[in-house]
Amino acid sequence: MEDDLPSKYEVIVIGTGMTESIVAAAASRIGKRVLHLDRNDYYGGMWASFTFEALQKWLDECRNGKTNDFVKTSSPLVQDTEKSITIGNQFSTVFNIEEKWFIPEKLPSVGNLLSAKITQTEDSPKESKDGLTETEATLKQNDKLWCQAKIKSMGRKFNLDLAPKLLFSRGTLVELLISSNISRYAEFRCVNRILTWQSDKLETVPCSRADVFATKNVGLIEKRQLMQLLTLCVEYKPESGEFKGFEDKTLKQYLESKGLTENLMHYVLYAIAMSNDTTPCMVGVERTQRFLSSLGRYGNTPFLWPMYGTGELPQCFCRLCAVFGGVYHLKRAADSVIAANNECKAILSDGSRLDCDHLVMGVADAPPEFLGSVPKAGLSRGIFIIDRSISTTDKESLTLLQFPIKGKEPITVIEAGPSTHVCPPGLYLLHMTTKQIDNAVNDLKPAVDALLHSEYADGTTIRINTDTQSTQTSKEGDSSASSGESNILNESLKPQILYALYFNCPETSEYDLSQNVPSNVHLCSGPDLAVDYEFAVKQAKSIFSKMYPDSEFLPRAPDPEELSLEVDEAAGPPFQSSEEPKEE
Amino acid sequence: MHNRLKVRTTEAQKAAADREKEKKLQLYRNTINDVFERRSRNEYDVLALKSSEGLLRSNPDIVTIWNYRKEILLHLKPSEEIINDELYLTEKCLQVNPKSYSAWYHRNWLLDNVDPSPDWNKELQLCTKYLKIDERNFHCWDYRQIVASKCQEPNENELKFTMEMIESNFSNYSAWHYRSKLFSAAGKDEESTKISELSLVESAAFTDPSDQSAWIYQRWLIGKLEPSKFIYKVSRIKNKIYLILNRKLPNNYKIIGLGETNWEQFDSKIWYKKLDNIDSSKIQIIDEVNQVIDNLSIDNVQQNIFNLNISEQLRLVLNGQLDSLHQLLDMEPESKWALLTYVLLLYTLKPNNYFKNCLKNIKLLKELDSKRKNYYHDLESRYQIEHWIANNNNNNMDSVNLKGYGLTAFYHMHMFLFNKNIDLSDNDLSHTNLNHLKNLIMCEQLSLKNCKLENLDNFPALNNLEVLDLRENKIQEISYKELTKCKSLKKIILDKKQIALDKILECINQSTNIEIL
Repeated sequence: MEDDLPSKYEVIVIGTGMTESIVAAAASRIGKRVLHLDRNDYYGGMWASFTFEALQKWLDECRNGKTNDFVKTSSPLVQDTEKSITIGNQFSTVFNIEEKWFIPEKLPSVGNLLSAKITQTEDSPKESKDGLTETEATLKQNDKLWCQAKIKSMGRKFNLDLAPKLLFSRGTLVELLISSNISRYAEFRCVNRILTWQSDKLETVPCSRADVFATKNVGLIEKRQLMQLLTLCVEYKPESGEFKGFEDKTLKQYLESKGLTENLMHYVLYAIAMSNDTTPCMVGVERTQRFLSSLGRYGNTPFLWPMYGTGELPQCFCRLCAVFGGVYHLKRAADSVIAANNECKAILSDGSRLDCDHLVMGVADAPPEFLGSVPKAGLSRGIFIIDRSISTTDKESLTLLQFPIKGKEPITVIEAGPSTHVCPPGLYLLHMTTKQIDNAVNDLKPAVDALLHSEYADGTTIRINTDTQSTQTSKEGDSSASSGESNILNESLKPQILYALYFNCPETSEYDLSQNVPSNVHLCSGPDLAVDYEFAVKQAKSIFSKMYPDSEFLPRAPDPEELSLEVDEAAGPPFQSSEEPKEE
Repeated sequence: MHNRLKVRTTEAQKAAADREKEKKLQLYRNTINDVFERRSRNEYDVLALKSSEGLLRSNPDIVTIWNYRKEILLHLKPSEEIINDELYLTEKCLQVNPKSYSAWYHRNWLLDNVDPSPDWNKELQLCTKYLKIDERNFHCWDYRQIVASKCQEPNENELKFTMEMIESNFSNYSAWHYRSKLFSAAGKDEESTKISELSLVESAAFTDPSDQSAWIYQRWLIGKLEPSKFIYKVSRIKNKIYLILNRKLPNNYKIIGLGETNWEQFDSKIWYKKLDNIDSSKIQIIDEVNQVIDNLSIDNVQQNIFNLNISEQLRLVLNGQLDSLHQLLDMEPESKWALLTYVLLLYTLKPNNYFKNCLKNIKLLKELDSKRKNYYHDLESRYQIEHWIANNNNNNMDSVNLKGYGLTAFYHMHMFLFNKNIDLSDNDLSHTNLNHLKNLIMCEQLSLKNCKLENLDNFPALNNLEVLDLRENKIQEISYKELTKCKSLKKIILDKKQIALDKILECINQSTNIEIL
């Protein structure tokens, strides 16, 4: 089929994942002719954010396998010296999908509810105090109950991330967004709470000066020790001998040598250094520095979270690419790569030959022969819609928790609420990500069991109202008094899972993507395990500098008021404002 | 290519910016002239109000124009709409310059004087909003104090607000200061408040010992402690009775006893009265409800005059703080604020060996914080003098011997009112105002030998002074004329290096003897 797309480009980018989009923007920004294609009708690929309906559609596609119903293009578009390589779909395969509802499809009607109430426990409100009739009270009660239909009816209020990630406030992505002036396309919220899991309960980690001052979790001496240690890490320079003798040891061993209490060790090791028992000392110090240097720029934690979900970010770069003349075509798959002499000449798409100097593509779209051996690493992902925060306070929180697992990578838990526009009011969204060992359900089980209430909720009983509930963490003081009782209380305070989705997807950040590709083809990894975007930005920079070694990577884009249009005089008569546009 | 985006070159940009600036400047000049002309024509209408609005929005600090607006507003008896517009204007101006004195003042003035029904609660919310944006804007904190009192916001709420601000960043003098104001306003110094505030400060100290704001708040908390006694000494001199206090008497306190004539004030801490028929030998200080605060018999000396009034409970807490400061100093031996507070607390609580300990740590402070060593010298002088007084309060002692204590300042000199022989030799009084000696009214012999004195400026008129030892100083000859004020001065002792005798003699009373040793 013929279409009106120009047929020659300097750069063709296939897939709108994070790395691909950054490269597309960078190329377009320096004046290269860019074509950006995506087979899907949405941006982002494995980096996308979905409404509830869109997620269901995506799941269907994953389950059924995408139909690659292309017809092998006949030769006129491919010359004799050239070879046509079919584009694959290998790594978009999302597997081990487990989807589960924990609430009924529909709430029982008022009548049913009334009869159900009789079987309820004694202390359930038999009479409402504010003079409402029983039915009205029930209806009111119904507002706080959830059913599948209700969630689906609010489906458009969800932005469910396939690859939830945070930005370090002084990380490379934030600096890039600022230096390139792309930041105006996005909005962010500060993560305002770092939690950790210690002695079977959640605790808020004091990570900034203000936190250390305010926390009641640590004693006075500990406050000083913690501040001293953090200052030491911030000011650390390789010349100083502070870590001498610990180069071959673990961070844990270093912290032990400083005589820190167990409490502080836990905070520093698992939450601030984002490490585990085996992390080498200097790696841990570097991570601590990165964490601390991002503190205080935008808030009391080092992290930012994009409003409307992380799927916004690739789109910001696509938008810049388009502003500088990049051509976009969604729902347009590339069918094959045409190569000659270990060089990519063009791609075939929808019956057209599109020539290019450089081809950039996500691993999900790469032909199998570009990849060599199959990468084995994978991510275990969980997305949970829950009815309250994992640790409620009087204000809505945006939370990061690195849930430590003995001897393994921690489970990264991100919880976002309605004010970040990722879920409707009254609900929270919980994302879990970890390295795949077994499958998503089993890999995430420790965190799910610890944090969430995963019994089926029949929808007729109301659980403890959290509107006025103080935090779980503040309850620590009296936990020793009646631990049995508080365990029951904690259990009932845990958020109820309403909907859970588990899946596994490949992780290719460790994988050498340049081995088997033609010299002008550049493959981009999918989402990596790390909590931030450092990897994607680094990869995009390195691809760009391979393509255009002498050009600046994403120089500052001008603001609209700095721009003037250069109108080509020969293009035709200028628009006359007095003339009414005529309808055809 | 059609319609390609073109980025303007920087030179073109600069020229455009310059043109823009010139245009703005011309507009500004024209407007300001227009406004001043209107004022000179006494135009007090809405139009005049409108004319200066843009001006203030670009520069909110032109006080004259705000004053003109005040004149107009008082003249107009403005509608609610005009008042709201005016409030909105100040709001906009404060966005331009959040620290504009005149804009803050105008807003306050407007609500106080023009607005018939000012909404102070809204103002309070506005303050909260502003302070969340700029937590250390003291203009807004000051305004908040006014607003909170106008809308009678409960102290507890304000305390809660300051607490929130302190929790988000405790390096905030304004917030701590407001807390001190709120506690003072509440009247009674609740012991429990003091204790909880002290623990707050402790938390800040351990988090960041180099941040001053909390330490200074702690000094306020400790500084509120007062000595338990008022009266140091009551004694007769000829036909008068002198009463020496250790601090100024509060206004509503009264002195009673020892006859009917009224007590007169000689100095804020020295009172006297004529000796008439004495009805009792006791003197009392009573407060506004006639409660006896302190009393002493005539010709007596109060022991422990510098001991502070500390309840057992508070003493316990302060002792705890002393311990934790000790721990903090183990971890941060060079923290000046921790060390200074440690010294202050030691001196407040006076545990065993406190004096030696204080001196040792003051010496350390002088080294650590050498820029403020004079402050520490003066602090040490005060401690030395108080210590001497506390240990030498024998009533019959005529002489004071403060020789060689390294004093740099005179404290409590009024307590030596009755002493005839005072030795201040071998100290460093080079930077001290000799005027502090004015209360040594009974002194007959005074030694200022080797005190690094360079002049005798402000040497007081000591009418009983007979012998003055000024050896080993470098006093300019001309300043000896100050001594002519001492009418009984018979002898000045000098050393051989100091003589330009004829010049000195020109300056002083011929009857005074100069002895050279």
